[in-house]
Amino acid sequence: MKANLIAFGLLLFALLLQGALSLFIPISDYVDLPLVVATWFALSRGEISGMVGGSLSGWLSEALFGRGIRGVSGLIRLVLGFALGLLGSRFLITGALPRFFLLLTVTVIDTRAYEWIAPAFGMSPVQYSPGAMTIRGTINAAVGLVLFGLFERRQAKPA
Amino acid sequence: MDALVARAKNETPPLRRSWMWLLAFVILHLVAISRQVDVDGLSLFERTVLSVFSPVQNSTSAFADSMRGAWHSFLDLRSVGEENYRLKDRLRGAELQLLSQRAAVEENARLRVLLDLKPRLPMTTLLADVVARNASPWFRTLSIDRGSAHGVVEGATVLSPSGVLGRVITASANSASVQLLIDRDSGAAVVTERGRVDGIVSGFQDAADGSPLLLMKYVPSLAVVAPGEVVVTSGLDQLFEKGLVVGTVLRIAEPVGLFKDVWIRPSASPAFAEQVFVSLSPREKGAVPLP
Repeated sequence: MKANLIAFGLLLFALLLQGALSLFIPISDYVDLPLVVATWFALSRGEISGMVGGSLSGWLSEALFGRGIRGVSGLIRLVLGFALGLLGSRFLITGALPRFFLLLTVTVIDTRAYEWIAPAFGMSPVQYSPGAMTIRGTINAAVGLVLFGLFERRQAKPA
Repeated sequence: MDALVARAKNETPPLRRSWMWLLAFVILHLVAISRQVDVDGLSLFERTVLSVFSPVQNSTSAFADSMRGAWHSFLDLRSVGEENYRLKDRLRGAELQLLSQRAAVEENARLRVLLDLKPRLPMTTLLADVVARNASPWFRTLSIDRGSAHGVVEGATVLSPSGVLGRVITASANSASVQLLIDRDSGAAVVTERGRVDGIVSGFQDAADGSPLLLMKYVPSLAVVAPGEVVVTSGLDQLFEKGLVVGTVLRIAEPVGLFKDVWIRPSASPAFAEQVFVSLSPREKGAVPLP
């Protein structure tokens, strides 16, 4: 229960940080902190928690910063959270390189899926060119890698 | 072999249960999404999230501002003498410019009287702080710290000193979301200042460097538009007030059929907007929010 509350708090903090940093740098073009936190949550806690974390991260991001129909990102991240949860509960993904590529893939799938589904609801989201998408995925994966290290260090600390 | 079967038996139910959960959640999401399709205004979920988050967001923004202020003060101290000299120089230039502009305003007023035109009513505006900027990777939006409690309504025009930024799409009690003109779903009726060529602009991303531009559509092939020409709102869309600066013509495409595309560099840059003006008297009170 405590771990779930901490994870939820972390998700809220990531959202607020994303909003605050957006005042100084175009952070959303490169980094998606709620997605990184949801990925960590799914990998470390299994598919049910992954689904809840992913869904919450999508819904809250859309409610705060989106427009038009809300829930599309929640739905995408729900499925992503489930898949990551399955992956995390069956494989031990601890190496920097596998984690980097996993985060890169998650970022690309999340962004491209939204670009693909949103027009069905009459929305025209920002379309990232392949180059911009690669940069976005790489930076988000690098930031995710650093954050994963921090989360692990926090977990390793004796209570 | 028996051990493997036993293990499989033990593992199957939780996995099946997970899939059931996934299916249930997906259905729940689809219901939640489809319920929004014909709903006007804010949903209960959105209202709750915005009400809970807006005070926190405002405090975060205030803290960030104070940190920025402290840092800037420190930096300012280092170059205050040089900057003072430069500012004095700029002030002299501005004073000269002001004099010539005053003359132009007087001339404009005289011409209006001569032409028997009604003077345009000044727009009532409210100053708002930007608390989040383009925080979503998919949309070009701003969040401001003023909402319906301060008189902000959906459809209200949002301006920066250099021109139109966008319009309010959702307003909760103490915050509002602004759809920027550079968003791909935005739209505004515009006219070129010199040639009086009408068109409609919407957000467009430059393929070369990804910078946000505006694409002016439905410009007749034979219309004369020149690079550098100022583009203003025409007011024909009943969404934006007439005569607000939108941007300047950057380049013109070769005509295809009856129309040609014109690319416009927006005059107001949301990347630097810290405070914005929100119109308190929107053209259309019950303006329909854009999708």
